[in-house]
Parts: sequence; structure tokens; C-alpha cells
Amino acid sequence: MSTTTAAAPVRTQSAPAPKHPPGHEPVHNYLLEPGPSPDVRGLARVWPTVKAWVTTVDHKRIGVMYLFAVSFFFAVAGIAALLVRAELMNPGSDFLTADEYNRMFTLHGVMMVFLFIVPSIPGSLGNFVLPIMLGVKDVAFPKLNLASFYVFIAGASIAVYAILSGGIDTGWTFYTPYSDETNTAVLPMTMAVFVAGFASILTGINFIVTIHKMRAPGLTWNRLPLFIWALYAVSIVQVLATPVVGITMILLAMERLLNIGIFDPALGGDPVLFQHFFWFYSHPAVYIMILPAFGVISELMGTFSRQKVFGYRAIALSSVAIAMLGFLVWGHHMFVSGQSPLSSIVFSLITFLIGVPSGIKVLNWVWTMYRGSVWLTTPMLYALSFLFLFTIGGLTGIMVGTLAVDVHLHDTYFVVAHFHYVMMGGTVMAMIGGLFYWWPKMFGRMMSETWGRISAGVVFFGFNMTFFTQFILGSQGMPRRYFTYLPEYHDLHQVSTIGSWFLGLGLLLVLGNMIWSLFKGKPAPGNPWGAATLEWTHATSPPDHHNFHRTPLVTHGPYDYGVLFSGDGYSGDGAGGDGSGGDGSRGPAPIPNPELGAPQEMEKSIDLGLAQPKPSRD
Amino acid sequence: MAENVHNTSAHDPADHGHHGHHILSAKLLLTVFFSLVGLTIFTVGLGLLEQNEIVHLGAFSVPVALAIAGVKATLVAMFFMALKYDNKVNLLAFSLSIVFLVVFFVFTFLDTGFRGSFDDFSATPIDQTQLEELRLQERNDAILPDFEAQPLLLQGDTALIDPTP
Repeated sequence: MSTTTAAAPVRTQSAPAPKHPPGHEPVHNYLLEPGPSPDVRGLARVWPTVKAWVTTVDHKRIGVMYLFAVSFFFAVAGIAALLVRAELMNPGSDFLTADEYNRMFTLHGVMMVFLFIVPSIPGSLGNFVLPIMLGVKDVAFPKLNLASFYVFIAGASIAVYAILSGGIDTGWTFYTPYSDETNTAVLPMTMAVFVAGFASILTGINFIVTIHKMRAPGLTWNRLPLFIWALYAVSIVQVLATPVVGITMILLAMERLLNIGIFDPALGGDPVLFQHFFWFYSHPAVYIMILPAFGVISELMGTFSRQKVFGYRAIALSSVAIAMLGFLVWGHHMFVSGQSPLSSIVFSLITFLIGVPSGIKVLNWVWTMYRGSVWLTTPMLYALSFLFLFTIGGLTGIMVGTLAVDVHLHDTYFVVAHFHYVMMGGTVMAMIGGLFYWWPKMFGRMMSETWGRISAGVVFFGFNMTFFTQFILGSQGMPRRYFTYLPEYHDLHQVSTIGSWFLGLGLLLVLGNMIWSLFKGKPAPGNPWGAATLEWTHATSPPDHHNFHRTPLVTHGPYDYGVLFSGDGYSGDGAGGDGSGGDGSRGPAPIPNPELGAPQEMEKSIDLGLAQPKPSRD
Repeated sequence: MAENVHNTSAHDPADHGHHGHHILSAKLLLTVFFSLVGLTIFTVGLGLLEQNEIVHLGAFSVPVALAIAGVKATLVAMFFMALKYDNKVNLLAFSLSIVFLVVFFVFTFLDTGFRGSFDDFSATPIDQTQLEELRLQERNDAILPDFEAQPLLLQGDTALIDPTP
């Protein structure tokens, strides 16, 4: 081959090119169409636009509406958290009474768990990205998808009503017997959880059927993006576990209303049974919260290391393994509840087993970066934050899963810090990273990279300042959910509170960046990051109303980045994580310029004879 | 995708179109019916034996009853609801939901069936440590007088005090 002058050059920097291949410019931008025609102006546009959005069955619009809804609840619950932290600045009452404090942390917990984290990534990013990643026009049941959003809003409205009618002070777990006796709004709040649960179930059913039945030609199970694998595992958990929390809430309501002895020992019930019921859902629920984040991180690690995700099958199957094992560990929340020692031992053992698939994932992400070209964009910075914080959260999870240690650490700030490291350091970081990653695809605008990186730094610093101190506080015995504390905890509480302000500032920067980009951001090319999954290679930014001009044909794995630049367009095996097949032998793929974008593969499609005629070249 | 294709060739010719349901022989239906009746009688009989304290199942009484009921439910689903002859995916979905129910019951039973059994799992039963503590306390009380400070003057020197007022 030495004499040939026409060796395929590997483009390290794509030449200034049109943002979209000719004939692939966005035709029906989903954000604008269907909607009022351009000659309708002024206020007359409002009603048709609103009507088009609230009656839409387009998964992208539903995803955007979910994004706004969960962001709103995240903001409200975040403000509640800031108030809780501010109250803890000094021992004793600063501006909240003890009762108000109880209501405040319960509001924070219930809203964050049931109205933000559980629907966050599947509802917003999942709804938006999943069908495009699979190469289809929409999810399997579009109307059910819209119904799930409305059910979620209905549940959220009941929750808001419960808060306005006096709030609730049981903590987000609604433990009996206190929740049987308290005079606060337990009934409306449990009904809100019951209703919001159905939104989860509907989303789960939709995703399972879509993944099983609607994949584009060539998209085999071994070529599914890892985000899809994660959402698949999550959907199974949602469908199987969520009914249980519904039943639990109904039982609690029956007991409060009709005095049936289920959980109340005075009526012949068993209060620990409530904890069994509750955690049989709520432990799988924490995997509902974290698994989609794993999926997002897998995408980010591959794209921003510019090479195949290491151990593709191991990551995919470990998602499913975590989903399955997650059903067998709920008792580790109940080590000091009076449950039998035998079950505590069994639960503790299985809890350790969860560490294996989680460890596989972390190891594979780290190995994905090894010998790649790590490209430190904002999404990657959030992904690296995730890696760091989730590992701390996971390892402390092993500590509190240890039977003897947990007896001392149970209900201290150590546990609070542990699950915040997993939930916020894990899920929220991944969600923000995913938002920065898919934002150009969702809204057709680039976010500010500089401010994005600053925000990542501030969030990371503020987060650790807030919660690492709580590990220390917890190990020294500061109990959780306490309104006041002994003087020796004063300094660390102050550090934690100041950290929470940094954290809030960082999240405000993220919000400001998003709003700024909607109005001032540079127009995004179709594939700014040079990623190789269908939503980047075959769709415009923002996607058309029906996602694709023609049904895409998948010819390579989801992380064969080199294929886009080498032009041969075919890789032998799908997504072998072993580096064989494809063109993985050539090392990491080049880094594209995000403002120009990487080549797309619009031509690789199945011609059904339904394509729009190409516009004449002017 | 081969695994997604609804396999109709597995049905026998008695099928009516693609929604045709499998026709079971009367013999099989009767067999299932009498099995159900037999299992019901078995459950009731076992309950009576337990009541009269002839059989002692103890903590396992509920699990055994549930197991029998589970077998009966399986028979109904397999034959009367023809799940056995349906697409295997539906069987998988049904089985999975049952499996998760069983998991929930079994693990909850690990708690409720063995409550208050801390001593069996403790290296030193708590009452034994308490007993040890008690014995040490008693020994302490017994030898305490030997260690008490002795007064220098055992008997008051009455001669120094004028007995007559």
C-alpha cells in the first residue's frame, strides 16, 4: 500500500462544512411544528402553540415537558434543602420551629424522590433520546406516553395540595406507627405517591415494548447503546416494583381511615411490615434512580474518550444484574428495626453482592478512558465528577450495608451523606452531564462551554463541602432529621451549610447557561460531539417532527467513532468491547470541532420510497 | 428478529386463525379439575391436623399453605387459562411476576418467622453476658467489706468521756 497516494486520510479536524449534509437540513423542527403557521403573529400564536404542546404525542415534546416539570420540582425541593441547611447553621431555632423543620425536610425528601429523581432521567432524557437512538419515529404507545406525563402532573398536583394543606412531617419514608397517628397531611401525600407511581409504570411499559419491538434494521441487541440497556433495566424495575408502593400507600390509607390493623400493633398489626412493603419498592427505586445515570455515563465516557466503551456486554448485563439483585436487598434499611437477625444477615450478604456489578461498571468506565483521547468538555467533567462521587457513595454504601457497622451508623448523617453522594453525586451529576451532552440535539443550540466548565467546578466543590462534612458528622454520631444538635457539631454544620450555598450557586450557573443558550447559543450542527449513535449520526439538530427522513440502517456498533471519520462505514462486529472488529485497531477517533460537527451518515438508510424529494441544489 | 416473531407453527391444527385458542381434551381438563379439588382437600386436611396438634408445622404452616395455593394457581393459569399453549413471552411475564411475589414473601418470612432469635446468632448470648455481669457484681459485693477502710479506733475510749451528766 506504500505506493498508493489515495490512502483514506483520517480527518483530525473536519473542514468547514455545512452543519447538515445537503438535503438533510431540519425540515420540520419539532419545537415549532406542528404549530401555528408563521403568518400568525403576536398573542394569536399563544393558544395554538399551547394547544399543540399539551395535546402532543411526540416523544420529544413530552420529554421536554417532563424536563421542565422535573426541573421545577428540583428547584422547589432544592430551595427546601437550602432552608433546612440554613436552619442547621446554628443549634436551636433560627427561623424555623421544630415542627416546621420536620415539614421542611419531609417536603425536600418527598419531592426530590417521587417528583424529581424517579422520573428525571427516564422521563426527560429517556423519552427524548430513546426512540431516536432506536431509529424509530416514536415510542410504542405515544398516547400512553402523554398519559404518563399527565398522571405525573396529577400526582404532583396532589403533592402540592398536601404541602399547602399543612405539609407532612413523617420524613419521606412515611414510617408507621407515626404516620398512622400524626395529624399532618399523610393521606394526600401518600395518594400523590400512589398516583405518580402510575406514571413510572406507564413509562416503563412503553420503553420495554419499544426496545423489544421497534428497533431499526441492523440494530441488534449487541449494538444497542448502553443508555438503552440501562433504560431497559430500569423499565423492568419500574413495572415490577412500583405497584408495591401503590399497594403500601393504599394499605396505609385504609388503616388511617378504617382502622384496619395492618401496621398498627394496637390493632394487631406489625409496624415492621410497613417497612418491608415500603422498602420492597423503595430499594429497587434507588436503582430506578441510579441506573439511567449509569447509562448516561456510559455514553459520555465513550464519546469523550473517543473510543469504544470497554466491556460493552459486561456493562449492559451488569445493569440488568443490578436491577435483579436490587429486589433482594431491601432489608438492609431495617437492620435496627427489630427484624430477625437471620434476615439481617441474608440481606447484608446480598447487599455486598450489589458491589460486584457496580464495580464492573466503574472499572469499565475507567478502562474506557485508558489510552483514549479524553476530551474534557462540560459533559465529560460532569461524568468524571460522577465517577469520583459515585465511587465514594458506593463504597460508603458497602460500609452501611455491613451489619455490625450499620447498627452504629444507622440514622446518622453518615447515611444522609452516603445516599446524597449516590443520588446527587451520581444521578444529578449524570443528568446535568447528559443535559449538556444532548442539549444541542434537543434545542439545536450549543451551551456556553466556558460557563459550563465553571459550573462543573463550582458544583463539584460545593457538593463535597456540603456532604463530605456530613460523613464526619455522622461518624461522630450526629443523628439525622434532628432539629438541633450538641455544640461540638457546630463547626462542621456551618461548613456544610456554606457548602450548600456553593452548590446552589453552581446549579444556578447551569440553569443560567441553559436559558442563555436557548436565546443566544450558537446553532448546533447535527453531530457536534462526533458520537456514533443514531440520534447523532442520522438526525438533525433539533430533530424533525418524525425524527428521520428515512428509516436508518445500522451498520456499526454504537461506539465505533472511527467509522465516521474513516469513511469505510462498515465494521465487522457490533460493539465488541474487546477492541476487536470495527476499526478499533486504529486507536482513538479524532476529536471534532463541536461548532462544525462531525460527519453524519444520513445516506445509510432503508429506502422505503417514502423519502421526501431532495430540494434542488441552488 | 427471530425471537420476536410470533410463532404460530407451534399450534396444532385445531387453532382457529391467529387468535385461535388451544382446545384441551376433556380428560386433561378433568384431571386438572380433580387435582385442584384434591389439593383443596389436602389444604383443609392439613389445617385440621394442625388444629388438633397431630402435625406440627410451626412457622412453616403459612408457607406450606401458600405453596399449595401456588401450585393450584399455576395449574389454573397453565391449563384453564391456556398459558401453556400461548406465546412463551406471556408465560415469562406471568412467571416473573409470580417469582417477585415469592421473593417478597420468602424474604419477609425470613424476618417474621425468626423474630427474637438473636441468641441463636450471637457469639455470646446477651443473657449470658448479663449473667456474667451479675456474678461479678455479686462477687464484688461479697469481697467489698474486706477492702473497706478500717477505722483506727475500733472501740471508743469510754474512759475519756464522762458517763455521768
